Amino acid sequence: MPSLLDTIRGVVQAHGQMPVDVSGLADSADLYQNGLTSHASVNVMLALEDSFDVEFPDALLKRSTFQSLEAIAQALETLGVSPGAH
Amino acid sequence: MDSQDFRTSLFAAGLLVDGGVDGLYHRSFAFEGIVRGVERYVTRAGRVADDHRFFFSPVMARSALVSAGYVRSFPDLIGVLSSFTGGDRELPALLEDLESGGDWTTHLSALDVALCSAACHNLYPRFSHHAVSRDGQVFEVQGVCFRHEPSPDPARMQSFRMHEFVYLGSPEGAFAHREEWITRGGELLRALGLDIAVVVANDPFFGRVGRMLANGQLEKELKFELVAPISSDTPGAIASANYHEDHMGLEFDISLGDGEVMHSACFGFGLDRIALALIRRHGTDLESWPSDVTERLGMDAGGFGRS
Amino acid sequence: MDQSLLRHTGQHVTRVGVDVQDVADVRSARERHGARYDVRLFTEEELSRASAHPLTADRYFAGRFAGREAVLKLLALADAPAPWAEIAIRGDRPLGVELTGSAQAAAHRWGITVIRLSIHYGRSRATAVAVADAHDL
Repeated sequence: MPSLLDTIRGVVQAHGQMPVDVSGLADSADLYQNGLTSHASVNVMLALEDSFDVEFPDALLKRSTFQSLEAIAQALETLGVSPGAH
Repeated sequence: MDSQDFRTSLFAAGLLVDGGVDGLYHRSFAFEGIVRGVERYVTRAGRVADDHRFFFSPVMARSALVSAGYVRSFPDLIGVLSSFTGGDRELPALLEDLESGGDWTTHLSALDVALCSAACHNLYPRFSHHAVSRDGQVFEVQGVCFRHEPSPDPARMQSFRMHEFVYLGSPEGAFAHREEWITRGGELLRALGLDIAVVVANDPFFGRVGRMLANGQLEKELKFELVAPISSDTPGAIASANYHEDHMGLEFDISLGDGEVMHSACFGFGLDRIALALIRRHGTDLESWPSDVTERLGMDAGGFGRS
Repeated sequence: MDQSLLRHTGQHVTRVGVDVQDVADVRSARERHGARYDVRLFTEEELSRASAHPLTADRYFAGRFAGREAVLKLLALADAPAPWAEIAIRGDRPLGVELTGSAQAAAHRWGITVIRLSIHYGRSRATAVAVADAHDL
C-alpha cells in the first residue's frame, strides 16, 4: 500500500507540471528549485484536496507549504490525514 | 439580500412597477425623481455648452446600428423594429395566424429604424463624411437604449437611460477625456455615498471571434467600468469609460481635416442603474436618505421629484 | 520624499517584484477544477468582474495572479512568506494593494506604506510589476 509520501509524490507528478521526474526527487528536495511554479502549486493544492478530501485553510496557502514533498505531508497531517497507508 | 429580494422590495415600495416581461419596468414619479436628480447633478459637473447637448430619440436609423458595429459584434442584443408592410392581399394570412395562435410575426418586415444601442451612436451619423477639429469637442447626450437581455434582475433592464459625455477629436484628446472622466465620474458617484471601484472591462462581443476582440480590448485597457453593489452585494457596472481609438471615425467616415481619422471616447452614466445603486445604498424610503445626497440631487426641487 | 523614511536610517531602497503568468495555464486549471479554482484564489470583487466578463476571465485572472505574485516577491522574506489570502488587489484605477496578517507585518517592518502595482493583461501571458519604497535593512 502506498505511503502518504508516495501518494503525494503521485499527485505532484500528475499535476505539478514539473520538468523533472518527481519519483526521482528526495522527500526534502526543494520543489520550486526543481521547476514547480507558483501557479502549478495551485493545481497541486486542488488535486491534493480532491485526493485526501480535505480543505487547505487560508493560512496554509503559502509557498512554504509546497516547498517539498515532506512539507506537504506535514501540512496534510495537521489537517488530520494519517501518515500511514493510503 | 439577493436580486430577487431587491426586486421585491422595489415593487413593494412602489418605486418600480412590473412591466409584465423580464427586464421591463415602469417607473414611479419617485424613481424618476432620482434619475432626473442624477441627470442634473452630472450635467452641472460636465459644464457642456447648451448647443452641444442633445436628447436623442429612443429610435435610431437601422443603418446607424450597422455602422456602429452593433449588428456584427452584438447581434444578440439588438432590437430592430418590424411592422406589417403588406396590403389587403397579404392581410388574411397574418390574421389567420393571429387567430389560430400561430406565429403572426412571420408576416412582418424589418423597418429602417431600430431601438437605440448606445446614446453616442446617434451622435456619429451627424458628422459622417465630414471633418471635426483636432482640437476636439465634447458633447453631452442622453438616450433611451435597448439591450435584449431579459432577466429577473432589476439591474438588467432591457430599456434604460444612458447619459454620456463624448469627445470627438485627436487621439491624445480622446484618451485624456476618458481619463478625466474616470476620475470625475468616480468622485461624483462617491459623493452620493456609493462604494465605487474602477475595474478594467470589455464589451460582450458575440461568438468565437468575439473572444479575440474582447481580449484585445482588455489588453489595451480600452474600457473601464465603475462598479457598485446594485441588486446584491456583488458590484455591477453603473458607469463606463470607453476609448474607441479610431473605430467610430472609420465606421462613420469622420476625419480630422488633415487627412487623419477622428478618435473618440465616451463616459456614460447608467442613470437607471445609478438610481438602483442609490436605493440599495440608502434604502427604499427616500424620505430617510442623507440630506447631503438629496441636496446634491436636488430631489426636493419638485417637478418630477418628490413633493 | 517621505520624511519618515529618512528619519529611520537616513537611507531608503526601492523594492521591486515582477511576475509573468501564462494564460493557457489559467485556462486549463479553470477547465479542470472549475469554480473551486476561482473561489480559492480571488477576491469577491475579482470574481464578480470575471463573471460579468466571461470572455476575458482567463486573462483577467492571469493578470490578477501575476499581480499578487509580484507583491509577494516584493515582500519576500527568507523564511516565512505570507499566505496568498493576505494580499488582495482592489480595482484597476487605481490598482490598490491591501495587506493583512503577516504580509502587512512584513510591509510594516520594511517601512513600506504603499505598494505601486501595474498589470498588463496580455493575450497569451499577463505581466505584473510591483514597486515600493522601503527602509534599507
